[in-house]
Amino acid sequence: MNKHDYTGWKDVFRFSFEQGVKANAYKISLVIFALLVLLGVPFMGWLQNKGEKDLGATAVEKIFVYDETGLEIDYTGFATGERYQKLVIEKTPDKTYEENSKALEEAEKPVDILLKVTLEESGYFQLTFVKAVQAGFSDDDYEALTEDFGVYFDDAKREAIDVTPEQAVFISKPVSTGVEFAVVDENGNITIEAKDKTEGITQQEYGVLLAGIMVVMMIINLAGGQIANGIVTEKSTRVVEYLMINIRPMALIVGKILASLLLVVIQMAAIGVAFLGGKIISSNLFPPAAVQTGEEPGALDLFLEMMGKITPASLVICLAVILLGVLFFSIIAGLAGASVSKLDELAEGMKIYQLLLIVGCYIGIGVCIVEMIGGVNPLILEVLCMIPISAPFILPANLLLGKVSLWVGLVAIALLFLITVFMFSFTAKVYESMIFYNGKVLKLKDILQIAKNRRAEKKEGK
Amino acid sequence: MSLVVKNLNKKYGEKTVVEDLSFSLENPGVYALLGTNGAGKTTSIRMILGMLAKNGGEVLWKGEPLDAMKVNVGYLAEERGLYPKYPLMDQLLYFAKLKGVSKEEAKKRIKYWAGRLEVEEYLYPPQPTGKGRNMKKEKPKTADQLSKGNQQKIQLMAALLSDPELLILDEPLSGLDPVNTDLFKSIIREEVAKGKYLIMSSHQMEVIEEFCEDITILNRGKAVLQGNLNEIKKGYGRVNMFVKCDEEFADIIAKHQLKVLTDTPDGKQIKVTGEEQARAFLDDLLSAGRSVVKFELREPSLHEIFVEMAGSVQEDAAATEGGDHE
Repeated sequence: MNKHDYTGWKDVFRFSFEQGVKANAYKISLVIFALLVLLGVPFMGWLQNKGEKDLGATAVEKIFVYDETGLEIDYTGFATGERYQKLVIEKTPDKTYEENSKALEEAEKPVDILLKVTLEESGYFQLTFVKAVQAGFSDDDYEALTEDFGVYFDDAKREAIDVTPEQAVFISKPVSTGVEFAVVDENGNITIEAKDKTEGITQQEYGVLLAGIMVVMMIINLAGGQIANGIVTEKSTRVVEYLMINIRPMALIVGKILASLLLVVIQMAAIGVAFLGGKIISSNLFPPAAVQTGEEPGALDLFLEMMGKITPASLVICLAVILLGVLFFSIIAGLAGASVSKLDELAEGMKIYQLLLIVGCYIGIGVCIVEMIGGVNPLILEVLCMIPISAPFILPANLLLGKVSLWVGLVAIALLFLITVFMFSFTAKVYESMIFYNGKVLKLKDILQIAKNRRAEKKEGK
Repeated sequence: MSLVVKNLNKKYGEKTVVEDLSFSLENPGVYALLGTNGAGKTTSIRMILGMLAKNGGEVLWKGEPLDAMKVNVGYLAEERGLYPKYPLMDQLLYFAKLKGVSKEEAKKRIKYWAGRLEVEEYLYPPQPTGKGRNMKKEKPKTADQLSKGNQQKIQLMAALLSDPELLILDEPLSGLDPVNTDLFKSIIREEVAKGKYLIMSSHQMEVIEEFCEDITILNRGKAVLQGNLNEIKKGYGRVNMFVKCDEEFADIIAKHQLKVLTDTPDGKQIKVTGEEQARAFLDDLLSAGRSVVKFELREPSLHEIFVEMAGSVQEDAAATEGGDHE
């Protein structure tokens, strides 16, 4: 490959991008997705808000609380505000829980709910609500009350042990332990080598990781699909005949890949902007009923918090890994496109591409699940973050969450770069033979055979 | 010599599709590359243009290896190629840009060729009619809205936009109606008059005879006949005799042991060895008192030479079954 091989890629890029933007399908899908997100987020906020407001005063009249925690919690404090001011809450320390349960079943009005509060051996508070058979309130009312009671309990238990919300947030921060070793190097200097021991992730972090995988998957899939489609169209319509006298195959594929990438990035950015716009509209029109202090941050809050902590180095590494990942998968998509002669055979030609994409994505999802359950072995996580087919899915979010270090990102970039260069070189060998091929869909072994023949031809030529 | 093709070779695995093809274009004009389907014409053209890697040989343009990205080459492919869903004007501007023609210059040339090829209505949509909400703006035309012939015209425009020095036309007249065939022919004549070098492949032998001085006939990748068309014909001699009489003359044919090639109401085409045999045959006809309506002795047509040299079309078609690179 030389510079000549890439001459004209800018023209291909410009034309492919302009035509992509002009395409009705692109414009319509962009507007529809952005509108759906822009309107969908406030709609969800409205639904949530509506559900909360429509309930009005609760129909529950009396709650018996059976508390086994030993904490001095004043449960009557819950009966405040418009919704719960008429509610009667009584603690029943004189009877056992079973006696209370039986009394609840036999009693006539006004006992509606029996609440059992326990501190479980595994270290969490359990609030068990039992609705009386004859209770005459709706399930929605019941559900809202139990949720509100949980929130109240969370604050009350902190107050009972004299901890402020800020202290509670501080205490609930995750704990990470590290092991360091003093090492003497060749010059006799003592250095400290650290080995991090990563703990599992929270549900919110899981959400961020999963969202990261989904976004990268969408970018790769959309870009790959567009490239393969474009190449088969040029091949089946024979436009490629004209193009190939003016530009080399590599310039053609590079221009197409970058144009498709930009189109997809614009689409993603528009959806992202619509999402933030929707959030702003939603929070202005339907402010959340109560923001609970000390509550764990949601996935979006965590994402925004993460964005605030991004360093230029980690951002560059993340973007580079995603870009190289898209390039790597796009080249495979381009080869898949060149292996077929007709558009209706494209699905068959894309099998290997789809398989690699699914494997990469599943590795990512698998890592997320295992991380949430109890944490992935740091070494395995690092290796998976470096493997080219899984790196674009796993590495960016894990790097931003601080689960892997920058050097893992650098190794991932190096490996992705090497395999992308190899794929470019391989594509350069087989592409021009494949692009003029007409016939049944080429299998992987056929493509390898073409590469082998090209090598032999080159030797023969020398 | 401007274009020299030397010992061009191409193999796909064990199969040789072009073998030692050599020819040259010394002066401006049209060179014909002929052959049956699958004979290797398109593969040769792709190698000449550098689209396809060759297994051997070289292509020189003015003494230097031909690089289609550096030399101004125009190409009309056998299988017409246009993006079906993109506006035609955008495509032409793109193709011109790839050839290094500026946008302004490209627009001027598109305007000229659109008029010349009578496709203005497809490239320049009418001005919007009406006002305000009632304004109707016509969308730019795309290739899939055009007939095959009109698509071919747009494709020819794409080939001519860069005002190429070397023009390669692969089956330029196939599928055109007589009016558009004449239009294309007139453009080819104009390009020749401008001093351009053309390579043309066609199955329409009368077209080749009309334009080309030099030819190569390919059969299964090998050049089976090449040279100046007039000299090739002369080499064959005047062996085609066309005779029409009011009376039957089968007895005279039998007497001379001649072979009748075709028998139509317009007369019989009879193969002779040369002028002497034809003269003797005519003498016998006249002495037998037959009224000779038509007597013509001429060289074989290119069509006849082609059929003889290229062999059976069916055989070649069988050889190209399945996936191939033609």
